[in-house]
This record gives sequence, structure tokens and C-alpha cells, in this order.
Amino acid sequence: MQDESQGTPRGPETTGRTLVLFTRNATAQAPDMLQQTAGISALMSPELGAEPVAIKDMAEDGVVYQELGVAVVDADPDQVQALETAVAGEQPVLAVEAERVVYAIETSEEAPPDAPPTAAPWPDTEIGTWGLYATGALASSASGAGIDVAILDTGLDERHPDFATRNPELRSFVPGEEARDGHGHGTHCAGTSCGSRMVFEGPRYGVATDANIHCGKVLGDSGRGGDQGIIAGIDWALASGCDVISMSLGSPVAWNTPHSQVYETVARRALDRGTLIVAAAGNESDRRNDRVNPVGHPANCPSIMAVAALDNAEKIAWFSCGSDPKSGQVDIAGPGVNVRSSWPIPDRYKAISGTSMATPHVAGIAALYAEAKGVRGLDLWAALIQQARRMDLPSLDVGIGLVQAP
Amino acid sequence: MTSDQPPAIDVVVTIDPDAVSVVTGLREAGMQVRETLTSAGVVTGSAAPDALAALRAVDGVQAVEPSRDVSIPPPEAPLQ
Repeated sequence: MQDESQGTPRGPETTGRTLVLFTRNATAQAPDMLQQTAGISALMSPELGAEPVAIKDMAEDGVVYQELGVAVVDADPDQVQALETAVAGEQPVLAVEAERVVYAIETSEEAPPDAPPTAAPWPDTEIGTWGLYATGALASSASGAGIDVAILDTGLDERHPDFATRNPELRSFVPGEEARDGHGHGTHCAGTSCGSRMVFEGPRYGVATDANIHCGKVLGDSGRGGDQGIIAGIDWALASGCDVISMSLGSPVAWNTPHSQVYETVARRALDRGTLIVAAAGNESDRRNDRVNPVGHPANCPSIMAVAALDNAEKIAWFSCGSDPKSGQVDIAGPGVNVRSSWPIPDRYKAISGTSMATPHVAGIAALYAEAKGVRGLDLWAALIQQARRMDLPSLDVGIGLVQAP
Repeated sequence: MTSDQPPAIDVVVTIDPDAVSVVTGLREAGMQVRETLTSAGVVTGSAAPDALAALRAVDGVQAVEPSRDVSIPPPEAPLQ
């Protein structure tokens, strides 16, 4: 008798039936041998019907599986003893064993908590937001150190604890407003592109955790702005030596609207100087009702990288604008649905959706390439495109695919 | 200037960075110059809508466009 209190391992659970293994050539005589040796009656497996049947419901004591050379039998202890004697003797029996109970190995719905997710649908975890997993940013060894990133938006709430150690450069281009973010959008976008590795609360959400942050306020606390302020912000970013400019802003355009010559010229000059401009494709679609609107202004300029939004299942976001083959294309896609990032105090964090949230993922990853590969301008553009993950989705919606960190 | 003249509109103008007298030319063509952005190569300001053709004709001017409004939803909107 086993004493379980001592932790003695128990033998395998058995069914009460017995397995008998025959030599390869002896299977045909197996029923006769079982009968003569141990008084066990057995059917050959071809005599079984198509329907499964339990041995206990059969007239016979067991079945010989002809192809396997194995019999499964109901045998009492005396009969088992007789079979084991036969193994030692001249009979064509190789082994006698108790049949073990086996179970299907349980499949777990969730990976162990310490294993990072590896495929869509991407979860938010305690470690990082879903977008950092989907883009590989969390696993990247690059941090954007030494790279200057400009976020042209509603400014930044520099009192947020997650920016306390980052010394962001702030400048307002909105008449009568300080650079501090009185909206939230700018603080959210700065968080996604350049938020810190160590955060006050919750998961990491920032891509380029060591980049130098330049927040230009070109949209007022009301969320409104115009081309004059935006271009003044671009000029400031260029003069400040920024390597990447992130613009989660735009205005809707009608199909077949030519892109702005002014922005295209400025973006081209920026690329020539080694500065990449990334902009939101726009949220004017309603794909739930089969309505797709074209990439907005100024993301529709060929020399500005236009960013579409994906959800955590890697489907196109219902609101994400699509390419207008005649006047403006989506270039790449990023995480843009239920994106958690920083928000002005006292809220500190918020999850929102939009191509505005996809854009700073791309801008932050651009900073990672700029650091890791030493590329700028058009070479940086090429690195982002070459390394993006191709998707089983129309390029009109997602461009080259999902941005991937180096 | 007559009172029924339409109000001036904000404009953005790309210029040839090497053109020396382009800002003077824009002023002479009727533009109220606000800023000259030398890194971007852009001049911002305002002008009467019917003066845009004259601005485009100034030596060293590449493109003249009305400054468009850009806006994002209010902070409480889930879609940004």
C-alpha cells in the first residue's frame, strides 16, 4: 500500500485491461494462442464492425489488432499470469502489459505569463502595449538614442511624470497659447513615439525611449490649426536638426484632389537634408458601411510617408483612409486602435484610436532605424519600407504593410 | 482700397532659396509677409484672393497656396 503522505509517486493509471504483443509473423494465430494459453476468446480486428464497440460489451474477451500485432483483452489475474509465463516460453508472445489510461494533452488558451505574445491578436500586457509587440519595438535593442524626433501637434504636458527625465524641447506656433498641451492629443502622440522605458504606471507604451523630444505646438488646445503654423513647425524642426518629424494631423480631401505643391516641396527639401516627415492618412473612412475616403492633406504628398491604422487583429481600422491612385497613397501601416499612451495630468494615461496613433509608432520606429542603421532621409524611408511586414491586405489600405522595428 | 473688397487670406509660398529679392517681390505684389522660414524655404503671410496670380509671377516663387485649416476632434472623442 502506498503512503501518499510521503509523496511516493504512483504508477501509471491503468484501465484493468491487458495488452499482449505478438511476434510479427504470429498475429494470425493469436486468437488460438490466447484461447489455448489463457482461455481468452478474441476477435480479429477485421471482424469488428464499422461502429466503435467496447470490449466489455462484446461476447469475446478481447480484440487482436492484426496490423499492430497487439491484442487488448479482459484478463483476470490468473490469465495474466498464464500469459506472462507464455512470454518466457516458446509461445510467439513478446510482452504482456497493463493497458494505461492516456489523456489528450490539454491545450492552453493563453501562453504562460512570462512568454511574450508572438502573433495577432496582440494583447496589452503588464510589460507593453499591443502596438509595441506587433511592431517588434519591445524586442528591439535600439532606443533612438541620439536621434531627434519632432512631434508637431497640440504640444506636450511636460509635467507628466513619464517625461520628467527627458528634457523635451517645447515651442508654440499657436498665437496666444503656451506650448503646454491643453488638449491631450500631442501628449499621447509624443508618448507613443518617444515615451520612456520606465513609466509611472502600467505598461511601457513608447517606441524610441531614448530619443530627444521636440514638441512643436501647431494645433491649439481646441484642436485647430492651419498650414502656416504647421509649416512654421516644420521649419523649426529642420532648423533644430530633427531627423524625424511626426504629424498626426490633416484635413480631408475629395477624390482626385491634387496634393499640395508647397508641402511636397518642403518635404522633398527635408528629405534632401536628411529629415523624414511622417503623417496620418486620416480617419474619414467608414469601412463598416463600405465607405473609404482618400488619404488627407498633407499625408497625400508623395514625399510625406502616409500611415494607415490597424487593429490588434491586424485588420484595417474601420476609419482608416485609403489610397487615391491618382493623388495620394498610403505608404505603410501602424497600430492605431485602442492605443494606450500618455495623457495630460491628472489622467496620465488614455487608450484612443486613430491614424494619429499609428503615425507616432512609425515615427518612433524611424528613430530606431536612424540610430541602429545610421540612415537618414530617403535611406531611412527605404529601410522602413524594406523591413515592413507584408500583409494579406490590399496595398491600397495598408501600403507596404505593418511597420517593423530593427 | 474699397470696402467691398474681399478680405485678405492667409497664404503659404514656396520660394527658391537662392533667390535674393523674392520677399521684396512678394511685398510689391501685394503680400503682407508674416514670416520667412529659411530652412523650409517658405514665406507665410496674407494677400487678397485676387492677388495670388501676381504672387505666382514673382521671380523666385515656386508655388502659392491658401493656408488650409487643419483640426483634430475634441479631447473626449475616442477617435483621434
